[in-house]
Amino acid sequence: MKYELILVEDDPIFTFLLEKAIKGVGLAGTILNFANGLQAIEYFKHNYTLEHNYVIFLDLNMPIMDGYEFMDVFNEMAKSKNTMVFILTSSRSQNDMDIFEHNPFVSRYITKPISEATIKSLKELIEEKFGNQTIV
Amino acid sequence: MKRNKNKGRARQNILESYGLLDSPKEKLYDDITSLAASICNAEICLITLVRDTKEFYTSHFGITIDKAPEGTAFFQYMFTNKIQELIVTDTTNDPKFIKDPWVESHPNINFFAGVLLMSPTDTPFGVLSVMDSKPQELKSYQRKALHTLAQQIIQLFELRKTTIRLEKTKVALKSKEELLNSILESIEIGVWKWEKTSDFIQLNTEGAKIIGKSTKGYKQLTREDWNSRIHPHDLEQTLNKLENCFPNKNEAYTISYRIFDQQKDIIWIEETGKVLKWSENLQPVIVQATLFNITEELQNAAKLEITKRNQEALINGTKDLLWSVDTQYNFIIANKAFEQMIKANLGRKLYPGESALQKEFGKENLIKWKSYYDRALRGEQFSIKEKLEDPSNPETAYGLISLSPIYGNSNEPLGVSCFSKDITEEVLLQQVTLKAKEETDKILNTSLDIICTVDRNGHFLTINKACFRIWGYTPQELIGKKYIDFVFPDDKNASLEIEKLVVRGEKIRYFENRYLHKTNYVVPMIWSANWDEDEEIMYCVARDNTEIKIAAEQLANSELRFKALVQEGNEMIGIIDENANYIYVSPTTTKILNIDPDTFVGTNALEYIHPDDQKMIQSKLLEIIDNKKPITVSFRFKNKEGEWLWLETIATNKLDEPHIKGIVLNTRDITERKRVTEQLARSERRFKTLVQEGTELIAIFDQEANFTYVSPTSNRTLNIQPELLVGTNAFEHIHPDDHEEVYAQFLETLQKPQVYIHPFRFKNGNGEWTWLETIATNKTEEPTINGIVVNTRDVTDRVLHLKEIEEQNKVLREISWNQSHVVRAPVARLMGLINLLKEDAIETEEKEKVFNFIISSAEEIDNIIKNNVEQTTRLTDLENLK
Repeated sequence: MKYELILVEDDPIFTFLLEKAIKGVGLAGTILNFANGLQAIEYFKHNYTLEHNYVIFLDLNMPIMDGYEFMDVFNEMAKSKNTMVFILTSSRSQNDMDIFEHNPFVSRYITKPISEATIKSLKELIEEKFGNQTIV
Repeated sequence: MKRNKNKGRARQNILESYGLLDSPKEKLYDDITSLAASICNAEICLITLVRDTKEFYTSHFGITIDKAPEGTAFFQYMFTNKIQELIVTDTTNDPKFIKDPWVESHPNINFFAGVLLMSPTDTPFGVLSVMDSKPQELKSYQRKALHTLAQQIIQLFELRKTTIRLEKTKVALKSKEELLNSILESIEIGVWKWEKTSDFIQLNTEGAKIIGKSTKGYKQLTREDWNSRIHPHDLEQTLNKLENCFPNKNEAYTISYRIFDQQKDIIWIEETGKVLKWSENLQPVIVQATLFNITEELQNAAKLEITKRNQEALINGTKDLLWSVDTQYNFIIANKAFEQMIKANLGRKLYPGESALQKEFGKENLIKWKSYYDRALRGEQFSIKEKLEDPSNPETAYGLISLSPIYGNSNEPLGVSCFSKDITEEVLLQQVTLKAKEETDKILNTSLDIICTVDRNGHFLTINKACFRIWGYTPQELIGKKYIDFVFPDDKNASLEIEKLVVRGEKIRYFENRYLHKTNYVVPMIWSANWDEDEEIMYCVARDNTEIKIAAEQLANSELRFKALVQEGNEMIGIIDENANYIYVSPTTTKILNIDPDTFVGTNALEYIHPDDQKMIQSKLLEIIDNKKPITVSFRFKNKEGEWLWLETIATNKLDEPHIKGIVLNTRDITERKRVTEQLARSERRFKTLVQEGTELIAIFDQEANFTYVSPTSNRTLNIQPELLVGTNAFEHIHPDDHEEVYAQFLETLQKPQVYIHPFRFKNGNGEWTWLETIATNKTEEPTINGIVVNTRDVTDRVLHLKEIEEQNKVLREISWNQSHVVRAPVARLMGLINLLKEDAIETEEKEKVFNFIISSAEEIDNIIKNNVEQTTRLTDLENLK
C-alpha cells in the first residue's frame, strides 16, 4: 500500500524543520508539500484513493485557505480509516484545540516547534493505525 | 256443439217415446193449463215442448199461439241453462228479457213464471209456464202448485208412453177424470168445482179441510148447501160477483166472503175462479175456483194495519231520527223528523233510493258516516254520540245514534237501521256540570292554601294541588291515605285530639301543627276545619306557616341582635340632655373605654373631651339642639387610663320623643382608623416626594406600550415634559438598534409580574441618547392602574463606562492573540532552528540557509514587539480619555 506524508504549511522554515525531523526519525513515505489548504484540497480532489494511506501535518494559520477551512472540505471527501491528521499550532490556546475535539481525522495537536522526540511518538501512533508493513 | 246436438237428440227421443210429436191437443192438458192459470191468477198458461230449437205447444190457455211472434227467449234460456224454475216478476226490469218479442209486442207479457219439465232420465223436454201482462209476485203456494202440476204433466207423459206401448189402448174418459182428480188432490190447494147443470159443488180434500170436513175425496154439496154456509151478509155480494164474471169469458174472479165451518165458527174464504167450460150457447157449464182460508191473514192484516199505523204514528211523531240505508248507502226509508233534518241541511227532500252520503254534508262527515255504515254492515251493533247540524236551529243538538245491521232471510246484510236519540239536554247538562266542576277545580287548584276533605277514618278524600307545592306530594299520592301518616311525629297526638274535637262538631281555627315534606323537612301548617255531619266529611283549609314562623324567628333574632349590639357591640349608645349631661350610657363602654356605664350617668360629657375639641363640640351641641338633622363629629375622648381615644359620634335629636327626651349618641372608637389614615397620608406624601422629586422616572404603559402616565421626574431625567410623552408609544423614543431586544422583554411583562429590562437607548429632550434601565411591573389586573408600571433610571454613565471596559478588553485580547500567534511563530521557528544547531544535524550546504532563517525570524520578532508597543500606547490613550 502506498504511503503519503502530506505537509500543509505556509512557513518554509517550519516545512524545512518538519522534513528534517521526519527524515531524522526514519518515517518513510512520499513527502508532499502544500503552502495552503486549497492546494492540498486540489491535490486530494484528483488523487485521493482508498488504496493509499495518508498522514497529514496541517498548519492552522495560512493564507487563502487556513487549516479550519481545509478540514471542513476534507471531512466531506475523505474517510478516516486511511487518513490521520496532525494539527500544527504555535498557539497554546485551549480554544484552538477544542474545535477539533470530536473530529475523527484529527489524531493529535502538535505545538511548534516540532522536535524529533515528538515525531518519534507520532511514528508509533502511525504504525499502530496503519501497521508496520506500511513503512517501506 | 256435439254435446248440444246429443242433448237435442235425447230430447227428441223422449218426445217420440211420449208420442207427443205433432200429436193432437188433448183436453186433459188443457184442464191442467187452465188450472195452473187459475191458481197463479195468470192470463196465460202454456205447456211448451222443445224439439231441437223449435218450440211447440201441447196446451195453451189464454193465448192464441198462432198470433204470438216467434223467437221468444224465455224457454231457450231455461233449456240452455237447465234452469229448474224461472220467475221474472217484472220483465221490464230484467235486461235479459226487456227486448224479448213477447214482451215488446203480443202478448205483451210483463210477468213470467216457468218450471222445467224433465224426464226421469234428467233430460229437459219442455216447460210449464204462466204469464201475465201485469207484473206480479208469485206466492209460495202458487209456486208449489206450479211445480206439482209440472210433475203431474211429466207423469201424464210417462203414462202416455206406457199407453203407447200398450198398443194404443184407449184410455177411458173416466180414468182421465180420475187422473185429473188425483192431480187436484196432489196440489194441496183447496179446489172447488161447480157443475152448473147438475148444481153440484165438489170440493177436493184440501177444500173440505178448509170448511172443516175431514172426509177425503170430493165432498159433494148442492149449491143450496154451499150458500147456506155462507154468512148471510156476504151471500148476495158473493152470488152477484159470480154472476158478473160469467159474461166476460176468460175473466177470473176473486170473491172474499165469510163462511161457517163445521164448528159454526166464522172463517174468511177467498175464492178465485173462472169458467172452465162453456156450452155452445155460451153458458157456463163448469166453474172452477181455488179456495183459501184467509181468516188468519185478514186478522193479521188488520193487526198489521193497526201496528203499522201505530208504528207510523210513533215513528213520525217522535223527534228522534229514524232511517235506514241499504248496502249501497242508499236510503230505504226515513221518518219525518229525519226528513226535516235533511231538508234543513240540504234544502230538499231525500227520496228512498238516493244516496245517504250527499256531498253537501262535507267530506269529513261523508268519511265518518261511510265508516259508521260499513261497521254496521259488517255486523256490528253500536252507538255513537254525534253533534247534529241543523242550520235552522241555532242551538247545538246532540244525538246518541244507534246503528244496527238489517239481515235478510239467509242472514246476508241488507242494510243498516239507524236511530238517533236526541240527547242535547243530557249533553248540555253534562257540559254544564263538567264546566262547573272544572271551575271548582280551578279555584281549588289555584288556591295557595291546601283545601281538602277527610272522612271519618281520617283518609284524604279530596285535596287540591297546593299539596304538591307545600308538602311535595301530588293529590294522587295522598287521596285514600291517612292524613296522620304525613304529620310530623311529635305533632301526631295533638292533631288526633283536634280531629276528635272537629268530629264532635267544634269549628277549629288556627290550629298549628307540622307536616313532613316528601323530601323530609318539616313544614309548619296552620289549620281551620269543620265537620259536616250529613256527609260525614271534615272540610279543612291549611296554610303553609313557614314564612310566618321564619318572620317570628327573624323578629326574635333581631331582638337578640339589638341586645348584642347594645351590650357587646363596638358601638356605644349614650343619651345626653341639652346640657350634655349623660342620662344613659350603654354597657359597651366597659369594653371600649374601660369605664363602667354607671360612672357616666349624671356627669357631663365635656369633662372627657380633649381641650382642643371642646369648642367645636359645644358649637355642634347647639347645632343639634336647633336642627333636627343627625350630625357626625369626631373628637378625642379620655379613657380610664387617661389616654386620648379618637371617637366618632352620630348625634340624633330625640328631645321631643317622650320616652327618650334627649340626644342619642351612637359612638365608635375610631382611634385605629385615624392612625391608619394618618399613616396613609404620610405614605402618600412620601410617594409624592418620590415621584415628583426623585431621579427615578415612573411611567405607566398600556398593553401596546403607549404611555398613559409619566411622572414629573421626566423633566429632570429626560428633559421632556411628562405631558409630551403621555399618549406616545415608547418605541418612538427608543433607539432602533434596541427595538428588538426591548420589545421581546416588554412582551414578557405581559406574562410575568415583574421583568428587568436591560439598558436601552432613549432619545431625550436634547435629541441625545440616554441609556435607561427599567423594572416593569404588570398591574393590568389592578383596575386603578390597568397598565404596566415602569421604574426607570438613567444609566448612561454606567453603560458608557462598561463600553469603555469592553473596548479595553478588546485591545487586550488582541495583544494576547499576538502573543500566542504572531510572537510565538518566529520564536518557535528560532527554537526549532537552534535545536538543529545543537544536535549538529545540519549539513554544511544547509548552514547558510539555516542562518538566513534565524535572521529573518529575529527581524520578525523585532517588528512584532514594535507593533505591541504601539497598541499599548493606544490603550493608555483610551484610559487618559476617560
